[in-house]
Amino acid sequence: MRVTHATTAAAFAAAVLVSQLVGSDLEVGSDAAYAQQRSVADGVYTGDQARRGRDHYRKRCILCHLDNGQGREAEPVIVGQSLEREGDPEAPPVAGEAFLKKWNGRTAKALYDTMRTTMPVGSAGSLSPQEYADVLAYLLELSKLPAGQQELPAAPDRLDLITIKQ
Amino acid sequence: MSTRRLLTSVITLVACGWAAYVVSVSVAAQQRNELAGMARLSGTVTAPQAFKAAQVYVRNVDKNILYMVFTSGGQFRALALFPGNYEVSVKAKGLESDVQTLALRAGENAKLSVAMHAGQGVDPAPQANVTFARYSEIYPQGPGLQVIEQGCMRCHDENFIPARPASEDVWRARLGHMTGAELNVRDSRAYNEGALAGRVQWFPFSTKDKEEFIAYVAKHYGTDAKPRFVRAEQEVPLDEAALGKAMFMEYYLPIDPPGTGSSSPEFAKRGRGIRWGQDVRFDPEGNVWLTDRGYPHRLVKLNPRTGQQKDYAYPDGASNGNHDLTIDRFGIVWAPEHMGLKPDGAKRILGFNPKTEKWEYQAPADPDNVIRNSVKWMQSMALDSKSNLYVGWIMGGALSKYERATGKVKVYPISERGAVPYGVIADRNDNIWMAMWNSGKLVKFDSINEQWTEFAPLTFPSHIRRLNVDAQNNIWAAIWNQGRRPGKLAKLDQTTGRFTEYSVPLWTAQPYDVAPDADGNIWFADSPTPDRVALISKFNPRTQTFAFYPKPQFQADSPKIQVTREGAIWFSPRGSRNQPAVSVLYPDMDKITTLAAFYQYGPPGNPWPSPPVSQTARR
Repeated sequence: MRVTHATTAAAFAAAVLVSQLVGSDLEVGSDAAYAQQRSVADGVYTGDQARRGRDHYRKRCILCHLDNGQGREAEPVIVGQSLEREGDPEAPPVAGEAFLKKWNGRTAKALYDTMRTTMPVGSAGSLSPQEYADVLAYLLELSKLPAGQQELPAAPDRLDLITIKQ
Repeated sequence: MSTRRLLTSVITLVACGWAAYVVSVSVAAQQRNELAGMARLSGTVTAPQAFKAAQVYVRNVDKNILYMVFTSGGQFRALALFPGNYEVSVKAKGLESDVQTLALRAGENAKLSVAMHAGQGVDPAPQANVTFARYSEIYPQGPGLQVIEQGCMRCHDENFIPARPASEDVWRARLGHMTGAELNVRDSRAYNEGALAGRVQWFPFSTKDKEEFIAYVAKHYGTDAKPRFVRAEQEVPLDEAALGKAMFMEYYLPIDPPGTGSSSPEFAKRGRGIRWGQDVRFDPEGNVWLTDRGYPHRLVKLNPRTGQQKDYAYPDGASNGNHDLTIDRFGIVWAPEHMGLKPDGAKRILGFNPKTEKWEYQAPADPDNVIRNSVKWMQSMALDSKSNLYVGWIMGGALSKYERATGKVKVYPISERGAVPYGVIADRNDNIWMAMWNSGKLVKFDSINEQWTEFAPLTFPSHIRRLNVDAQNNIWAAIWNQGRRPGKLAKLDQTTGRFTEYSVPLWTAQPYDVAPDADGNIWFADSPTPDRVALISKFNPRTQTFAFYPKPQFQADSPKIQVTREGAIWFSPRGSRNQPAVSVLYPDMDKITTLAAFYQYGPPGNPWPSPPVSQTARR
């Protein structure tokens, strides 16, 4: 019994160590990569990450922000359609030119924090930090920004070094 | 027949005739007095082709009031016109006139001839990217159609889905919204969310149904589809002779100057930058009160005798949600808080005293947190004979009772599963009735014994928004969109417990609110479709006939109507984006004795005399 416990504890410690070592590279990239200010045009996410983000987006975001992040503007005035829109709220674009223009000059951290603290409406913070980062990667992909070799980190201090530019 | 019997008959006839004459003279005298300072206008409308019931718009540009009358045999007339400057134009199907201007003096009886020419006429201008098609073209037969017709159209009508083409992913998300896919991780944010969840919905909606629905909408209303609407293939049946007696008036709300009020930086975006009329009620002095749901929220007091309006902002930022109002026998205007800019904020029952012009009552509406959902808001309300106030929680599925004498609030969860109470009314026995938006049931709350009873109309499940009670204590409800089934009026006879339904002979009918007049007719607001005008309509239960009155604003639906003792129908053209207003239909303009609006028996507008209420009932 004691042997089993000891073996398990050792294995767990090893696993933690390995995950920290490996995970640091896989998930947030090397420290050197984030030592300097970068732009979203510099390939700050990976294609795999964007694909994960797309899955989250389809489950949690697409109802309001629609397929390509174009959002739902104030509904077109269609004759015969009531102005009553409760439960069908306006949603801003989260990808594309208008989106990048809105966030131009601000950091990825500011956007990440906004997503985490306000979205989805009614259940802000209900995605994990990594899932929010993945969704953000997908929004960058939808905005035609290039993918790179390293994932967008779920670390606010590192996201603070990434600037959003049109 | 004996001489004596003949003599009796003659005397009776003469007496009846004399009485009728006296009444008509009396009405005419009142009309002369109240309307003495007003003007009249009549005239002839011509056109290069035949037309029927052309709409004559007589706009007082000084007061921003519109009168709209209809031609009958090419003739028209309007009365009770405020002296001032006017613009007159006429429209019919495919015909319209140029605008003529004229000035009317007090007491003047002016004449006018108007010529129409080919033009857009009364129909709205075509919209880019919006096409119309037959129902069978938009909804081809196939698996999934039944789900749409029985599950979706019950609330959404036949135009909602084809007007919103999207990818399969989006359709899945929409279905997830309706089935409450997110509700295991958060509270519901809107009362439509989860309406098709498995344990609360009334339509049998299987997993197979869901997949067939997704396949159907992805195929027919996918990303590549254009928004489409079902063409209204039936013309609204119009009785030109009846319309020739009718007159609409619209008292337009002043639009806020740029940068202020609804167009201020604070509210311009969230409030859509517009004023937004909702419900109307009459006070004891004949004024009409309106809830303006735009931001900032306002109560609007209109004196119809002068056209003067006064606004009163709701308390605490005027943004915590508003919807209905009611006025009690002491003149207090009650207005519960609705969704607002803080949907999950605490909601109150507000009471405004017009004498002090202050919000004197601000009672927490769920003080004991009986409704556990974090998002909850109120909507409609009713007053019992003791002036106690009952408010439905449309988002929350409950009923709050505000006891007038003590100011205490008690909350009663509604018996029906997934309850979404819309309209609320009180019957003659102080039972509180509610229309279930989610199922189409009527629910009765016995306020004495605190018991619930549910009633399912013959058409079930369905979608009912508003209901009302007539002088015989029958409950009337308007069965809303039915897709391919016509809209209906349903009557519940409380003495027998039997429902009777009357189909509106207009396939596009979307009856909303219902209200009886003093003659026993049932009036209802009928929402428009994209190519069928908004209507105020009348049902005569004795002859079982319907009459339709096209409203001045084609697209402006009206959720609530109120009927005066003279039979005038007041409403707000809620759907109006550019011309929010307080409006009225006089079905017979010759019966107008005053422009003021009075209930037959005073506030709150019951169709029976109210018993005396001790002043102690008022806190």
